[in-house]
Amino acid sequence: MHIKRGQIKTIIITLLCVLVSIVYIFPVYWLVSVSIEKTVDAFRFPPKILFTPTLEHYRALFETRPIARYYSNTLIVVSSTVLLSLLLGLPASYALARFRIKRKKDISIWILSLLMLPPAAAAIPYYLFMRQLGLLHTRLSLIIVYSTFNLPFIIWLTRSFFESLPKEIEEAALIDGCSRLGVLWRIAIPLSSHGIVCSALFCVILSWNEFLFAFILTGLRSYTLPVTIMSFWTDKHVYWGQILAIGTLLVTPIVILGVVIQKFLVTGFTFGAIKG
Amino acid sequence: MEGKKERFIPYLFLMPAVMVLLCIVMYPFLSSLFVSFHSWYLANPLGPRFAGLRNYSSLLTDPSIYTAFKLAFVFLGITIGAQMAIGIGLALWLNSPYLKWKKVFRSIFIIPMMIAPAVAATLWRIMFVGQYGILTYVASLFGLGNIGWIDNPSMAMYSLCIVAIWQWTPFVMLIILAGLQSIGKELLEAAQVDGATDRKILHYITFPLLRPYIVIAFIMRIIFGFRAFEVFRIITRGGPGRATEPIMLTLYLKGFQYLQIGQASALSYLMLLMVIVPIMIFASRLFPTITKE
Repeated sequence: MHIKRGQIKTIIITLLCVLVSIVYIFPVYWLVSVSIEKTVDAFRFPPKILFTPTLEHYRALFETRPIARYYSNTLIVVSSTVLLSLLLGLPASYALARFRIKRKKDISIWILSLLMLPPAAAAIPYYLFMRQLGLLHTRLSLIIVYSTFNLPFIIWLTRSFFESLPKEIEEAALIDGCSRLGVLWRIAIPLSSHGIVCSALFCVILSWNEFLFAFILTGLRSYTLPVTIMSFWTDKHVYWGQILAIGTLLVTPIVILGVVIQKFLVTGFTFGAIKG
Repeated sequence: MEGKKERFIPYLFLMPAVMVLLCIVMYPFLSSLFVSFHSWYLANPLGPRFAGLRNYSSLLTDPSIYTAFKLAFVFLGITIGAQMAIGIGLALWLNSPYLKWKKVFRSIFIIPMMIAPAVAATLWRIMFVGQYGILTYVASLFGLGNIGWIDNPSMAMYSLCIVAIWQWTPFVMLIILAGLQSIGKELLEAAQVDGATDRKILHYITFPLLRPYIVIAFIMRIIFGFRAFEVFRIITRGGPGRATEPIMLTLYLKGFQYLQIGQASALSYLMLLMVIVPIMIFASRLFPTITKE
């Protein structure tokens, strides 16, 4: 009797999950299917379930657009901002975790408040700033702006990892003649590498997908992938197939990355939560 | 000598990051505070002209600004409420001992959050659009007729909420799931042995232990909620009329469509005050780990 009840529960909950999965996965299916469908088929009413796939949108995309450059722009911006944020952020976060610093609380709150800066409110100030610096339409402008969001994020997410390390190891290394920087580089960072990598990957995903600043700050030569979507949106014609083809190219690497690291994606957030 | 050096080291570690942040955050914001007291139409070659508080007074007397703030809060309220409720529900399912193929379901559930918001918005626009969108067809299957997902002014905002709920529920789910998995099995078994029902376990053990996770998910959703922009810009552009124009889009339109830089800067400051001040006040309660001495 007991086993039977368990089986019924299994069936019900699995069915419910299948149902939710369909709702969750359907838009993704639609994304891919419109990108490999002839435009006339994509907007047929009622919709056609079976269609002959075509790669015409992808071919048009690669023939008319410098896709490789969009990819390399995105990669350069994302890797520079994340590396820069780690380089500056890890020592700062270690200092906040370990050292006695005057006005530490105020500094922490200030850094945290940057995290809450609504990008919409920051858009105009940054646009004017980059205009003054003559950096509009460059990749550097995006690297700078993304760092203002990623750097506080890295500091906030990695701090609790440093705090959780046993002090004794670091003290022993100091006595053995290791410098403070050596302790950070040889001991603290390797021991919290798991948490650091998780936090960094979260920043990678956010920066890769960022749209607003890329939209207002980049030009033809410095387009990152998310912005290119808007350039298919002319007054005369909207190239739905091509838009979704580039959308598919844009999301594929991140979806794969996300599914591979899914368990660790939120480690940075939850680690702090436990201690809170 | 050695002691003196030791005292400086913490600042050597901290200062590069703080200095960089000061330069790249404070300068733009101070200079746009300056701009906010000027009347400046970007296409005007004469540049900014001093306007005193006129930008602020004209914004504060403009009813559409209040509507835009209200729409932002309606959007955040609906989406965050639904994300929390559904996210917690899905996490409980995924953690249930009765569920098979957990990894498969989890992988599927987290996909929406990986999709670039700009792509998600475009995609949903295609599904919502006019008479031929797939969702219009789906609605007609349920006998809803031509529901006008994004063409109907009283429906459009809710359609956009659906997109945000679809996209960001997985984030809440992942955090709650991590919380559920941190609860020791012994604790639950002990409660079962003592004769607690599932409902009682949920109420007296699971939820109290989940509290910090729920709080962190909630805070992160508020922070990320204000980043919503793509759905408004790409799916509806604020339309029909101004039915889906929250403050995030108003700012963009004022600055980059109408090129009213002075007014847009003033509006940026109003929004900063609305968002940052309450958060700063509650910061030490919301973030006990980072704000402690």
